[in-house]
Amino acid sequence: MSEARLRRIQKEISDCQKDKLTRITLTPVDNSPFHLIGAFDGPSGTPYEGGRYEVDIIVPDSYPFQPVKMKFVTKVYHPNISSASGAICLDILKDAWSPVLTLKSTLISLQSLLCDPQPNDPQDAEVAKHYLTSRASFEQTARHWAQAYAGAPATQGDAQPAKGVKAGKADPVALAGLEEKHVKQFEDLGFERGKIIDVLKRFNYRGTNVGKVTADRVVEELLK
Amino acid sequence: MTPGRAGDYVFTQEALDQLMTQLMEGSGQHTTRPASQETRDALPRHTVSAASELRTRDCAVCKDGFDVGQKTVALPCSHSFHDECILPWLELNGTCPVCRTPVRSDAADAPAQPPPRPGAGSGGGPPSPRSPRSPRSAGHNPSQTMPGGLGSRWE
Repeated sequence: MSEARLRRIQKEISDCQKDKLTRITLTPVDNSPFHLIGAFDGPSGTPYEGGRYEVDIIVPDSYPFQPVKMKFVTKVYHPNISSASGAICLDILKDAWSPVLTLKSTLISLQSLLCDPQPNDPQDAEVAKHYLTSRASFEQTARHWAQAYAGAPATQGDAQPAKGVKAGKADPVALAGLEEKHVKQFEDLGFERGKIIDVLKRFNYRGTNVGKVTADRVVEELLK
Repeated sequence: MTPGRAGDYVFTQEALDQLMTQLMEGSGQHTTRPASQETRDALPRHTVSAASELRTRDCAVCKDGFDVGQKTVALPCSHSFHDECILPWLELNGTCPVCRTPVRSDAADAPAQPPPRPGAGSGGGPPSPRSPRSPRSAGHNPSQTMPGGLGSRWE
């Protein structure tokens, strides 16, 4: 099947080149047809709109009988995508794979995953918590990430324009989905900014959840 | 949950990802089952003839056409594939790659996965080569190869 695997992949790459409509591209890495970078547009009507998302693709030896290995290269703020590593939680990349699926159809599935988060089967538990507890704040953070990492233009509808983004460097507080005044509050007590962001993220210190976490509890954690 | 062991703890997001991926892949082995040797042997074989209807289609697995003289296997759902394309798959997973209908002809094969939802794919109709839903349209229509057409995405 190894000859058939090469033939199929070459066909898939040329099919993608011919199809200008979906705006999905496949680019070989180091001239290997089995290591590619796929790219697609962030779906419109989502916080990812306007961004361009790159995915690292490894075609295994036993393709198409085993699923392709995919992970995001572009950082994405989404419950089913690891904010740290880009690892993806999607069943067709695991036990629901079928050999009729192609690189293009799998990338289209990733695009629809961006439209349709599944927070109850998360890859990134902190992001899923954010999504479930304060949706507006989650969407704002996801938009910040799209602007900071995926090249999405700043939108007018943003309550808080991504100020750091314009300067070419994203604001770590906004990227963490937190509010500056909350970080400042603990910074004034002498704690280090990076650590405060870490702890507040872990506590999901956002929206109505802020009232449920006492300042003492945060300080206790910061002292650890 | 299984009881924790020393060394089960993870301290970074990366390590947690790896652990979750391992767990997900592990659980996958319990949800898909191969078709038995008997089942695979019992599937009807054909040889593509010049007049064969398959000549107008592509194999949904390798995406190549069917040439005269090539050996094919028809599954109970009526989807046909090259023998060398479908048999290795059935050794891993006893379901049709197009419509996910379980392939089994004997009691040795326990149900591999829940049967597809009605309308989710071409159901397990009688094995007729003139099935109105051709493998070509099923294999090449993106809406059918999307996860929604193949079963639940988040099992």
